[in-house]
Amino acid sequence: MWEQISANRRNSAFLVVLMAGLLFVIGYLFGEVFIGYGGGIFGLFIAFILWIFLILTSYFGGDNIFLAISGAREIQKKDHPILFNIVEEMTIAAGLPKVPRVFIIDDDAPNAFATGRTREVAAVAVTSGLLERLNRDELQGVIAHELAHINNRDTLYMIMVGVMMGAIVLLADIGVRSLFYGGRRSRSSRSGGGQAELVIFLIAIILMILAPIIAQLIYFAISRKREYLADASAAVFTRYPEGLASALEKISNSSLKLSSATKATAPMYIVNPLAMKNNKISDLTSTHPPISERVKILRSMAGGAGFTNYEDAYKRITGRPVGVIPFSTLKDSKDVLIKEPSKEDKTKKEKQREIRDLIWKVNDYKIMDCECGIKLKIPPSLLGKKIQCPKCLRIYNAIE
Amino acid sequence: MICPVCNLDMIVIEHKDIELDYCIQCRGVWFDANELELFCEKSGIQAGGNKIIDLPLYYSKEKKYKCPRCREPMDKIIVGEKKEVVIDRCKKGDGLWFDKGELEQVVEQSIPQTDENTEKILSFIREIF
Repeated sequence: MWEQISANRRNSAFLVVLMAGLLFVIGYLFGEVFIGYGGGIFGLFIAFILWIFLILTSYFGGDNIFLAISGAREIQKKDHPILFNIVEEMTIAAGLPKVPRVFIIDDDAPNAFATGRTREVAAVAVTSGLLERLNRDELQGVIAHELAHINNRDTLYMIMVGVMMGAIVLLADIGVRSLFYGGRRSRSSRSGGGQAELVIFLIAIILMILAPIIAQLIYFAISRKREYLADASAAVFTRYPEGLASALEKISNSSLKLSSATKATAPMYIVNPLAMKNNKISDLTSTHPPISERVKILRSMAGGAGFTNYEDAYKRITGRPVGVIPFSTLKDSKDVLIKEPSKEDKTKKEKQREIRDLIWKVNDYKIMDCECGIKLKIPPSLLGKKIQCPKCLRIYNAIE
Repeated sequence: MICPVCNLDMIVIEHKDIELDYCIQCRGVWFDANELELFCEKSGIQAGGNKIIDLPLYYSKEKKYKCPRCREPMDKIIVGEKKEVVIDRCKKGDGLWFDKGELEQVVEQSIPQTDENTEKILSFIREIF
């Protein structure tokens, strides 16, 4: 895995430098245009501060920003012991030094992602729809895939790209707006306004061209290779390729759309939430390899769940002569026996209700059982008010 | 979920594993699409498309409410054959909204239905309120 890890480190560093270059140029131009001759130095200074600020936020707060954007809520072990159990097992299998924090996203569309700047500071988030639909083996496959991303340092790179993308979109927006509003004023008051207008216009145009290119960078960030690698690692960690295969199938078959996914966050997820079903063109440009192919590879791993087995299956299914697993990993790869599937003891409905109750709990709802057999779930904003059971008309004081 | 009429948080009531959102101020009820789906599964109803109650639109002068999920104005539809009750249905199929008045009409008398699915949904609501 070391090739992959050092490539990720190199790419992250390259991005930081690229971001600096871009910001310095913009800062200098802004300074020259707005303050006048010599103001570029001041602009440069502002840009430098902005750059430091961006780097610090993305490194120390990037994971939390992503989690907040996606509406994820942290849960504790007592809230969902099975999920925690799986995360702990996979932490050991992946050899991570610390169990990642676990988050739940209240969304019926099944999906999951991982984030974190290091192997120690990491988090994994799953949607409630995922927990409702998947059985234990499938969930284990998904978690293993996500922890593989953390282990390979894919997540740090993702954070860097995401924050940079956000900054550029914001700057382009400011440029366009100042062009729009500033344009009117300069025509009436200043004579030199025309030149300033032109420069800002140019910058805005450049940024607008750059934004999709940066987006493309994200696409390369979690490139197909990374996804295949994480799939292969998941097979090794779980010793059960079928789990991830059927999970991927279930996730991609769902027609529900993840409401919190944006262009900047989409590549993080295990299955691209913005990809339309049955869209051939999206297959060409997508961040993720086609699901059908990933599933086929996992299903045709013969004789074991090791990296070598995955590599063979990959070559057979895709017909490509070059595999995806780094050489050093293949060399150290050990034989991994495929385990027996786990038994499922809960029905879909029981699971569904359990997840819903968990969602109420993380959102601070108070659950009360009325004597008439009805359950009342009270939102935090109504605590302290008198609440009447609509069926038996008993009145409760919802106190917390 | 926020009540489409008074914009307050609604409480959730669970009966026979089905959850409904209920506003303690205006006493209206929201039947969410997910819960409708679960309800249909349980009672063996074949859901037609994304609209559980597949009835034509009704042009009413009643105030239009916004769907608590997608915030788009909801459509009005009529349930019942002889006695008519106007209820609100989300355009995208996010769920159904019963005003206090509509709910009372549903609860106080059984409304003859041509459609068996609608009958089942209304009688479930009748059980609670």
